[in-house]
Amino acid sequence: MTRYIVSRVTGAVLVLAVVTCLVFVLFELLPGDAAVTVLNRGGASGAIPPEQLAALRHELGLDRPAGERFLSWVGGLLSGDLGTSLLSGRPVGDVLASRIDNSLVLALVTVVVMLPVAVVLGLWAGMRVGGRADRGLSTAAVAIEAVPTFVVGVVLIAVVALGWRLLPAVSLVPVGTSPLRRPAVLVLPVVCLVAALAPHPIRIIRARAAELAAGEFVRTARSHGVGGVRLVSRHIAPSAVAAALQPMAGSVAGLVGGVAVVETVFAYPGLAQELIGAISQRDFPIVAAAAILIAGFGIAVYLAADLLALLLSPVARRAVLTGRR
Amino acid sequence: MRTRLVPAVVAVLVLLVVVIGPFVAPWPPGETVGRPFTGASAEHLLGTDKLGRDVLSRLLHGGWRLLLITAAALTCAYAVALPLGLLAGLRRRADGWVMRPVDVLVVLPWFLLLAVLATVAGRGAPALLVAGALATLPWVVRLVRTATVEEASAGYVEAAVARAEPWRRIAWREVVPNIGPVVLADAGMRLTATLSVVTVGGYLGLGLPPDVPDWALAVATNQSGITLQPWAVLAPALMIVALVVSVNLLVDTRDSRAVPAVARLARSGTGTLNGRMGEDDTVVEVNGLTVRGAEGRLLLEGADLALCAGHGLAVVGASGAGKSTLARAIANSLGPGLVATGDVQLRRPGGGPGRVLGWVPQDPALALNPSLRISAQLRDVLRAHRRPADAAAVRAALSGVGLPADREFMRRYPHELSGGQQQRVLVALALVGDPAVLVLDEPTTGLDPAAVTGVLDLLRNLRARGISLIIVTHALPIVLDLVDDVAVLDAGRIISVLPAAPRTGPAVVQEARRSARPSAAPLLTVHELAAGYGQTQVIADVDLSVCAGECLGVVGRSGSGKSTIARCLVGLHAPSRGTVTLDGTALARRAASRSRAQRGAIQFVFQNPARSLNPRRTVGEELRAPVRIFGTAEEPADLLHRVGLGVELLDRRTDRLSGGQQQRVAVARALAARPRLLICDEVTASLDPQSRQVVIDLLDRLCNESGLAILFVSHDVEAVASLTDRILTVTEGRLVTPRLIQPARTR
Repeated sequence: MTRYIVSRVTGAVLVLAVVTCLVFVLFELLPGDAAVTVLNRGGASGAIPPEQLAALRHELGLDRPAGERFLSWVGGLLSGDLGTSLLSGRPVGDVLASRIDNSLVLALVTVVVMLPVAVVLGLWAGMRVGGRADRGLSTAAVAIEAVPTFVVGVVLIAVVALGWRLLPAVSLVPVGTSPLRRPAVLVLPVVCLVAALAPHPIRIIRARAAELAAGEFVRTARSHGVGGVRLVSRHIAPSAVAAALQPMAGSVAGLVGGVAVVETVFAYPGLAQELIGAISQRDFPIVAAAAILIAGFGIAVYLAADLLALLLSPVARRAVLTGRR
Repeated sequence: MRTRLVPAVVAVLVLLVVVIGPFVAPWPPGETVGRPFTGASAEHLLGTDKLGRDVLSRLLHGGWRLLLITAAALTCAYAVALPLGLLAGLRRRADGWVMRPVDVLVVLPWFLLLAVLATVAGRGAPALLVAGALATLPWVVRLVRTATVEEASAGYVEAAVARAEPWRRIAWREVVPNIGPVVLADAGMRLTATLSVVTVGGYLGLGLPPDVPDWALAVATNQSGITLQPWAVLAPALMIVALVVSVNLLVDTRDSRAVPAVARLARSGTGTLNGRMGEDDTVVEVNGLTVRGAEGRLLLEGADLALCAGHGLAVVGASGAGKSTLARAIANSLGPGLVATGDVQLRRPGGGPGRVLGWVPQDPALALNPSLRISAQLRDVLRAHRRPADAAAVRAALSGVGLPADREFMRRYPHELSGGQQQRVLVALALVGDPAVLVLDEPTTGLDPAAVTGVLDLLRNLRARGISLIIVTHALPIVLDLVDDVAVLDAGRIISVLPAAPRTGPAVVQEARRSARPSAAPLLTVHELAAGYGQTQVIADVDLSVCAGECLGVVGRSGSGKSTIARCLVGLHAPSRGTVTLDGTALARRAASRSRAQRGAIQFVFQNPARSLNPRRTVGEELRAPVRIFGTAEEPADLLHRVGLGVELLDRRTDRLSGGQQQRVAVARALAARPRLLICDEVTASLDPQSRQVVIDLLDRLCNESGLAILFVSHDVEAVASLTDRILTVTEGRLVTPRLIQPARTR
């Protein structure tokens, strides 16, 4: 088992290394290098004086061979130095750190709300498959799953915030205060994210729970008199949730994009504005650092889901053990 | 029908807007025609936007780019993903190379792809297109691979593999037509997911330039004026909603129709599970019990039974006669979709409260929860019967059925027990709460001889304690001393209930029809064969030989490894050790490495007749495939004649045949290669009783007339006994000498 976990973690680190290389290579392929981008941004349109370009290239270290630059970049990443923004000249670490706490609060609150909602609704519908409640919930899940997050956001703003005047339309958080001190501003963004990310796990859990409920060992347990909450919580839930761990990991990983969208929709003071600004201005150091953080996040989430599946399912454990012995 | 109509109409309307819209828009989309953010008026039906442009006109112009980018992204994704998925699903060696990058792509959030691509390529349609395609690609590859792997286990694909056809031909001719529906059903989901990436990219300002009319951009641009002019935001937002929701609902209804609905357990009648006052000592009384399956098919008709306290009843009959259905209906554990009517009354002798009936289903591997320790399962049942659920009670329950009751054993999972131990755990679960009667479905099937003796001793013990028994069995002789009466079922009816005597019941085995079997040098010899999946060994140390013209039976319960043996012989599964020798020549491990003559000499008939033949092809096409490969001069019409079918079936698609006809065509397809050994893997398992008999008679005739050797793998003990010369039993991957089953031909 330990060997399996070690090999999985090693695999995850390797994947991250591959992604890092890919990001570097992609940015190497850019037409014009960072120096050109910086100078163009200065407002000097037209021809750039070659000596100015050469000076800046030297200053940015772009005249060194690609291999050397790659090594120093990776070395910087490993030692926590994420580079310098081309646009503002600030260290990338500072740019990202300035507002990451707000984004993390939003993501964490969403996860804390979404996972129980998905599990409970999925099991609830799965135990009454074909009934009116199940049909209603399943149809709603299918319909909502398809709608892009920003559309859900503006519709919620129009109806809940402007129509019913229940909650703020814009999630303003004064600098230096935590959004947790103003829970009202979190409600609509979190509802929006849960609506986007919960339907898929709900559908998977529902389908698996329904399959298990009709299966031989659950029918046998029923014939032995086991029923109610105990039957669902012990005989059905672990397998159903284990089956949905991958989709749930997908939902959690999908938070990255979801949070970016929702922050834009509600003008929530998170990372999104900096990041999207950096993307549209082609500020590579920021995008590259963010890309590696995002990739690391996605890889870690999926790895955690796979290891959690081992914890939940002895059958999966056996498959791993016999497969590795 | 109605549920699909609404989304279909909405989807068509949205598409009409997208296609016709640009031609009917009242104003030029880019022109400022009024003041910003004015409300609806006769001139501007949806008002104006941030720059005073007509919202309706921009709405009508705003869909086609979105759909075009999405369509292009999907086309790219499918063009790459379909071949990759087929390759990964069919070629084991390519699997890792394809799936590892795909797994990496799955793990990366789509936003990362979009961010990197938009930075590298700059904002614009290409970045959206590539991001959309890359976000879709891995899921399509995974789906196609899964569907292909599923399809690869179908008989017609395996038959093509065993014929050693090239994989591209297999992919194109056998797999693609049959995975089409699965891929199409998923395409709607992929469409909305890709559309989501494309619109979100547009909304975040990473897509088209800001002045282009586009629904996603319109939402972003006009959001600042949502209080003044909500329709400038809501109208494009609702167009997106209408499009994606209608498409998703349309696809979803089709999807749920393809999957058979899981029906709820239903049971009517006045059957009571708990004790009620009774005048006599009858513990089980069944009156007019009828069970219907899907489409009203009768599985059990008007069954009447009564069982007195302390008595035993055996239920016998041919496969498919309704024995298990009767037992399940009494135990209230019918499968999904089955409906029981009639009356089952259960009483405790003396009428006290408490559990009356304990149910022991047939296959312990399925009936025990694989993810709960056996102590936990026992505790749950103890609690359900309001008994103390402590370690002492669990220990007592286990030792009551002769199992070790130490802590280590209690903490085991079902898969850590042997078949006999699993069976005993099932009995222990059924015995919690001291039921008056135990209903057991095939309690000895598939156990090795020692375990059979153990289970029989346990039942004898229970009987002596005054517990009534209802035993469904194929092997009446070995349970005769446990029962007082024998109920005989045939085609869903109880035809007689007789006192148990050594001669009652139908002869489980039929009379020998042949005096002597041809004896010759072994045609096929297997020496120390071992095989497994991954690192799990399934079979070990298998030695057997088949002579020309001999019919050899291989029996064993599901999962015992008997199919793996059969698949090793024909080269569909590579053994890890051991040799298979044909006519004194050792065979290669895989069919593709064997010579054409060797492949033709051993032919395989698959379990599920519906999956044995390619449902998209005609009978004639199926029969001509082996003729083409093996170059035999067999005529499809002759082949059909030999299996007792008419030539009119030649042009019929194979999915229009009945199960029995399909299985006979499958035999004909095998005969087209002029085999000397026919391996039949559970060929009667999915057939109704009549078709089953027809197929058994056909195999018997082939064996008698043409000197064809047959290896008949089955858990259908009666079929094996009536057909074969010799029987081998497989238990946990090893061959053991059979007991208590006598093949007909040697008597």
